[in-house]
Formats: sequence, C-alpha cells, structure tokens
Amino acid sequence: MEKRQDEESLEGMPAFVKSWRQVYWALFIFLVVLIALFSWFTEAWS
Amino acid sequence: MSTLDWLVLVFTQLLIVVYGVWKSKQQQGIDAYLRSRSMNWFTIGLSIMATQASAITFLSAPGLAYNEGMRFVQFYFGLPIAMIILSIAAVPMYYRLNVYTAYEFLEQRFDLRTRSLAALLFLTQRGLAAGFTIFAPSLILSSLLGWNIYWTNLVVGLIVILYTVTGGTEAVARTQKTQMAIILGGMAIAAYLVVAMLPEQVGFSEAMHLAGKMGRLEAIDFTFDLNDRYTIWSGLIGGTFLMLSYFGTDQSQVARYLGGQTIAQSRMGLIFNGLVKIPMQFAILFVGAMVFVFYLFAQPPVFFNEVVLNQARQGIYADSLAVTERAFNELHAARKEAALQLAAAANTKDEVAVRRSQAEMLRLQQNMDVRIEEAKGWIRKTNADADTNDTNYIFLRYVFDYLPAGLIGLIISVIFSASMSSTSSELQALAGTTVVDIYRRMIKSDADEAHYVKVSRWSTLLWGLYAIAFAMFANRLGTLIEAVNILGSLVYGTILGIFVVAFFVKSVGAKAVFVSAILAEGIILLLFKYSDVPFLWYNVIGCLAVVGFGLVIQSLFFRKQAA
Repeated sequence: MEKRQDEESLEGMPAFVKSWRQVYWALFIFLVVLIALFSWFTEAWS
Repeated sequence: MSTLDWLVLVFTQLLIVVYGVWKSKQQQGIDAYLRSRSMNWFTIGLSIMATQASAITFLSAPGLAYNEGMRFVQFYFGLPIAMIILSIAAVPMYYRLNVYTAYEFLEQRFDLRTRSLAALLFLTQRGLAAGFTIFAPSLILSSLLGWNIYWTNLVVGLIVILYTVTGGTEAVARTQKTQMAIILGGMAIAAYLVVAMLPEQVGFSEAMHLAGKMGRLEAIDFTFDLNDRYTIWSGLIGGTFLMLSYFGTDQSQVARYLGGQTIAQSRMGLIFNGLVKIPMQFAILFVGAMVFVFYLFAQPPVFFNEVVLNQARQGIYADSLAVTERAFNELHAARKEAALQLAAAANTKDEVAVRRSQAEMLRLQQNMDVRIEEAKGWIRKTNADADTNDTNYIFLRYVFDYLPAGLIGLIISVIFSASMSSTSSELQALAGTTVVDIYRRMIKSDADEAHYVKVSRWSTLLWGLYAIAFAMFANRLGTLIEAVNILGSLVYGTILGIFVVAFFVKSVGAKAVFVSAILAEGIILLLFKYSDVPFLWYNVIGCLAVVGFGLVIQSLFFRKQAA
C-alpha cells in the first residue's frame, strides 16, 4: 500500500525518477560528493 | 548613476512586475489566492530559493568571502538533509490535512489555543522582519548612492504590495522566477568581469593561486569547535535544525511548496532547492574571493563604507586617520608587489618562490588588518554610533567603482529583486496566516470565497504598509535592527519546539504542549532580561524547553490523556 502510494505520487516527474527513495539517496550522495569536492578544493588551492 | 543604469533598472523591474501579474490568472477563491496549487516543481524550487535569498545574502556573502574565505558555505550543509526530512514527514502531512498554513496542522494535532499561539508568535516576528527586509538594502543603497531612504523604502514596498495584492501566490512565484533569473544573470556577469579585469599577467589560474594562498578559497573546516561559527559540524548539525525550523514551520516557506500542483511537485521543489542552493551559495562566495584578488592589484579603501569614512576624514581625528590610511596604502603597494611575484612563481611552478611570496603576503595582510582596525577605532572615536562593520559594502563598492555603465543598474536591480522576492513571500504568509488562522477561524467563519479573497487582499496591503512604516521607523533608531533579530530569536525556538512535539513526540498532548510553550517563552524572556546568553542560543533553548517541559508535564499531570 505504502509502496503503491509512493509510485502514484511520482506522476508528472521526469522519466528518470523511479522512486522517492532513489531521489532522497541521490540528494544525500550529492551532498557527500559536494563535501568531498569542497574538501579537495580547499586542499588543492591552499 | 548614468542614464543607461537607470534604464536597465527601470526596465528589468517593470518586466518582472508586468510579467508576473500578466501571467497570473484572476483568483476567484481563497484557495487560488493563498495556495494556488498550480505550480510545477521548477517554479516552486526557484520560489523557495528566492524567498530565502534576501538582498543582504547577495551583499554580505561576497563580503564574507573577501574577509574570511568561503567557509560560510558550510552553513548550508544541513539544507539537503532538511529537504529530505521535510519531503518525507511534513509535505505529506500538510497535504493530507489539506491545510493553507502550517499552524492549521497544530489545531488538528493539538487544539485551537496552540494553533493561535504559534500563529501570533509568527505574525509578531515576521511582521517586523518584513520591514527589515525592505529597510536593510535601502539603507545600503541610500548610503552609497545618496538616495533618500524614505523614497527607496516606499518605492520597493509599494511595488511588492502592487503585485502581491493583485496576483496572490501565483504572481509571487512567477515574479520570483524572473527575479531569480535577473539575480543569477547579474551575479554571473559580475563574476566574469572581476576575473577579466585582473592585470594582464594574472590569469584565472594565477587568481586561484593568489586567493587560495591567502586563505580565501578555504571552504571546509573539519575542526570541532563550539565557538567557531562555521565548521562542517555546525553546518551539518546546527544547519539541519535551523533549516528544518525555517522550511518546516515558517509560513513564508511553507506557502511556497503548498502551491504545488501535486504532492510530487511540492516534494521535487524542495529537492531541487536542496540540489541547487549549495552550489549557488558557493558561486556567490567565489565572486567575493575573486573581488579579494582584484583588490590585491587595485587600491582598496581602508574602510568600504565611504559615507562613514568621509565623516571620519572630516572629524577631529582626521589627521590620525590620514596617517593610518597612508600606512595602509604603503602596505597595499608592498602586498601588490608580492602578489605579482607569487603569480609569476605559480606560472613557472616554482614552489619555493611561491611559498616565499605567500609568507610575505600573509605578513603584509596581517599588518593591513591592524591598520583597518586602527581606522575603525578613529571612526568610532569620531562617531560612537557609527557602524564599523563594512562587510555589506565591499561588493557594492567594487560594483560602483569599477563596473561599466549599465551593469551598475543591473546589479542594483539584482538587489531590488532579491529584496522584493523575500518581502512578497513574507507579506503573503502574513496575510494568509491572518485570514486563515485568525479571521476565518475566530472572527467570521461563514462567509463566501469572494469575501475571504477580499479580506486577504486588504490584509496583504495592511501588512505591506506596516512593513514600510517599520522600515521608515528603523532608519531613525539604528539599534532597532539588532532588536528585530533578537525579537526573532525570542519566538523562533518556541515555535520550532511546538512543531517538533507535534511531529515526533506523539505522547505529548495539547494542554501539556501549550503550558510548555508558555513556560519556554517565559524562560527565553527571563534569559533575555537577566542573562548574557547570546541571542542565537535562544532558538536551541526554546525548542528543547518545549520538548522537555512537554514530556515532564504530560507524565506528571496529564498521564490519563496521553496517546
């Protein structure tokens, strides 16, 4: 039931979005990658 | 300002307002006026970003990077986490209960008293904050351009009132989309020009070396220090709580994502904000770092607020200030020489020479900082009330002194756009809360839709006039600016605490949370009156007090009613 509601609520979203769980993980991983990049950036130019 | 600057400013502002009102449909009911339910995720995302980014964001952030480097970006690390939590917990809850305001949820979870308390706390704080949103950029623009601050306040305020009253939520969101385009376009052009205007022998790579070696590209700090405002830990932990309270309980943001066509559009709008906000803030800070590199070669003033500096130059300490300025200028000339040597060494990859020049530049910078403090001392002695923080003036000083005609108008348009985009959301949220949580709930609950739309329009107009009036008043009482920030912190923690209990502490009931909120607010007021606790901590203390008192009071006095 929960899963069905989740899938239904994806209506109107871009085709590559398969589930909300995937979207949340993608955003979280994006944050981790950003922090790693900023860390490298700080180190590289200091 | 040149005629071209005026043309650019007037044209861009007219474009924003006319486009926003024209694209918004005439609202027949309160649902369309306050909530719209017509926006896609892209519009919602931009609207959320435009609401959060006030004019001060675009003025302060480059100044912060100029002075201290890019560590301020860490402040936003909690934002994506907060967006995920709100998408999972708050958005479905608000949609399921079909609410217009966040405070309606509190009545369904607790009772009318708790809802009214939170709504009144919000109206008190946000009403004054809206005035401050208009006042702050007006103060800076009037100081730099010699404009009359009352007219600046009035023009900005009336334009916002015009399109917010006529177009409602949809006009606010659509104008914000255009405003964001102008803001981002203007900042991108400024970023390009600041690098393009560097001396011939200093390319982008050398500019990066110079900024980096002077600590201006430092974006991450892993040290755990509670006294340090910007570290990765304060960003991830403190930032998450702050963003949760702002985006989850402040109606000026809640109204943005409740305007989505569907729950999915609202969620994706929040996720989009989580994706774009940090890179955008990084880019704005990067402009500030490049302005720092620019002033390694161009003569910077010892103090960037020229009006205040000129007052001191004509005051009784003028001679002492002149000595300080001469010493500062000589140090700058020596630093410029060292910077050119460092750029040349970086170009030839001569690491030893790079380190040598870096050490020399850092030594000279330290001496320049001493002279800056000295100059601030003379300014304070000349006028004890003078604001000696010039961070907000750094970027605009660069714009006015070095950007070509036309672009100055565009950057002022960026500041106006940022100010108006935040103010319009605030006015809309104030009107929505006044009508839905106070008027319709407690005064007149049986009127037709057209009546509520009319009251909403009047309410927006009155809150707009209130904000303008406060902006006028703020100019006469300089210390009131700080008072507004303190006032916000006096109530924000309590509101957050009520929502935290509502969402996550199911065992606490209505009576317990209401008494807890009153007690927490009392403690905050006592701390404010009798302690030296910095006011930013009131947010944390207020929130924890509501949750803690709620649990204790529920278990001691209302155990039978517990869920």
